[in-house]
Order: sequence, then C-alpha cells, then structure tokens
Amino acid sequence: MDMMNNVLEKVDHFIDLVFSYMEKGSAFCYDKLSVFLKLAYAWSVVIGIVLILVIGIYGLTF
Amino acid sequence: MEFLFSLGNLFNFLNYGGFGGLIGCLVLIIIVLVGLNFSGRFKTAIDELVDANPTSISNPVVFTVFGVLTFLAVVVATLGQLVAYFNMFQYGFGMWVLTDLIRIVLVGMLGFAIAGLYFQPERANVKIDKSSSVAEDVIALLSFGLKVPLCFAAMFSNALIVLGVITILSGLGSYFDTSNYYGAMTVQMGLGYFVLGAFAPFLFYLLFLFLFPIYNFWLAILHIPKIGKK
Repeated sequence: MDMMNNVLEKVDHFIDLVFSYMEKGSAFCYDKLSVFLKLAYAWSVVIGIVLILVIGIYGLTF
Repeated sequence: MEFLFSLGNLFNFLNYGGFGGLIGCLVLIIIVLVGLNFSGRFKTAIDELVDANPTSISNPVVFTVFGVLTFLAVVVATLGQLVAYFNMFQYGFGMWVLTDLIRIVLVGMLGFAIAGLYFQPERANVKIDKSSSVAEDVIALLSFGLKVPLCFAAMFSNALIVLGVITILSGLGSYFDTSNYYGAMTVQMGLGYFVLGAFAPFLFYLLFLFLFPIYNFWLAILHIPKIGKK
C-alpha cells in the first residue's frame, strides 16, 4: 500500500511540475509578447496607413 | 470568425476603385487615427476600471484548472494550424509562407498569455479571500471572462493591428491581380482586423461597462449581511 501511495505521490509531483512549467511558459509568452507588440505597434500603424493609401491610389487605375 | 468576415465586407468599396475608392481610403485612415486616439485615452481608464472592480475567490485552484485547460486547448489549436500550414506547401509558395507563420505564432503566444492570466488571477484584481462565499466565487469565475479582454485590451489592440497589416500584406500580391477574388477578400479581412484593433480598447471598455454591473448588483446584495460587522 505504501508503495502504491509513493507511486501516486510521484505522479502527482510530476503533474504539479508540468503545471508549474505551463505557468512559467505562459508568463514568458506574456512578457515577450508585450515587449514585441509595443515595439511593433508604431511600425504597424504607419505601414497599415501606407498600405491603405497604396490600395486607394491603385484603385484610381480601375 | 463570421463577424470578422462580415467586418471585411464593409470594405467592398475598394473593389470599385476610382476617385470614390481613394476618398473612401482617406476616410478610413481618418477613422483609424481617431480610433487610435480614443483607444490611447482608454488604456489608462481600463487599468483604473479593473482596479475599481475587485472580485474575490476562496481558493484559486479552479482558475489553475481553467488555466491548464486553456493552455492545452491553445497547444492543440496551434499544432492543428501548423499541420494545416505545412500541408499548404503542396500548393506552392508565396508571401503567405512568412505571413501565415507569423500569424500562427502571434495568435498562439496570445493564447498562452491568456492562459497565464488564469494562473495569476490577482493580475485581474481577483483577490484570494478564504472568507469569500460560494456566490462570490461564482461571480469571480463568471466575471473573469469580462476581465480577460479588459486586462489584455492594449495587447489585443496591438496584436489585431499587427495581424491586420500582416493579412493585408499577404493578400496584396493577389489583390493586384484583379481576376483573383481571394486577394481582395484577404485584403478586406486585413483591413477589418486593422480597424478593429484601432477601436478594440474602446469597445472592450464599453463591453465591460455595460455587462459588469450585473455582477456589481449581486456583490452588493451579498455584502448586505456584512454591513456593520468587522
């Protein structure tokens, strides 16, 4: 019985470890994504506006 | 997804071209700039709104479980998209090779970041309070779905803008081939993402403002027995 309990405890411990890695991975994604999106934001707005202008000017050829 | 498709249909005027199309594009640029200005003002207001509306839960274990489920769902969805992405290689190459990969990675990381909020609910002003009643726990769980877009308003906005630009770029090559309907649809969808991203914080703020009061009323009723007690 003790052996079974030990096995179950080890499995529980492993699952807790996996969950803690999930939490760390999620926090890592949040931190990196925040930094990337803050940097990409201004460029994306400018490129987007330029693309809208290009599409509008291209439409003049129709 | 259907909402985004229908949002893309708002930009059908691009298919008609001419001077009207150019005027439409200039008006669209003004709308986007106004939306970005509104959203900039709301970013501070959103932080204050989250701080002003605390909820409590007696034990965060249920959030941990939802966090694990969300994480696994994002892993499965991302892997599914990657399999579909690699299957597309049999049809040839193009700009989509880069843009679709960036889109899959961006959406995947966004999903993992949302799962992260479930692991740390205190970031959404959910207090761990052992004296919290079952009803208060239920309110914390149900209202968390409203707090997620609010906490991530700036990130969702920036992500939608980046996604919009990537989608427009991926469809632009086909768009210039006027016989290719797919290119026009992709560009319109990209514009939809772009405009939605500009207005996202404003829209999430309004959504929270109109829907959260239901929970405020319930919390007020639950606090009646606690009036006058220490």
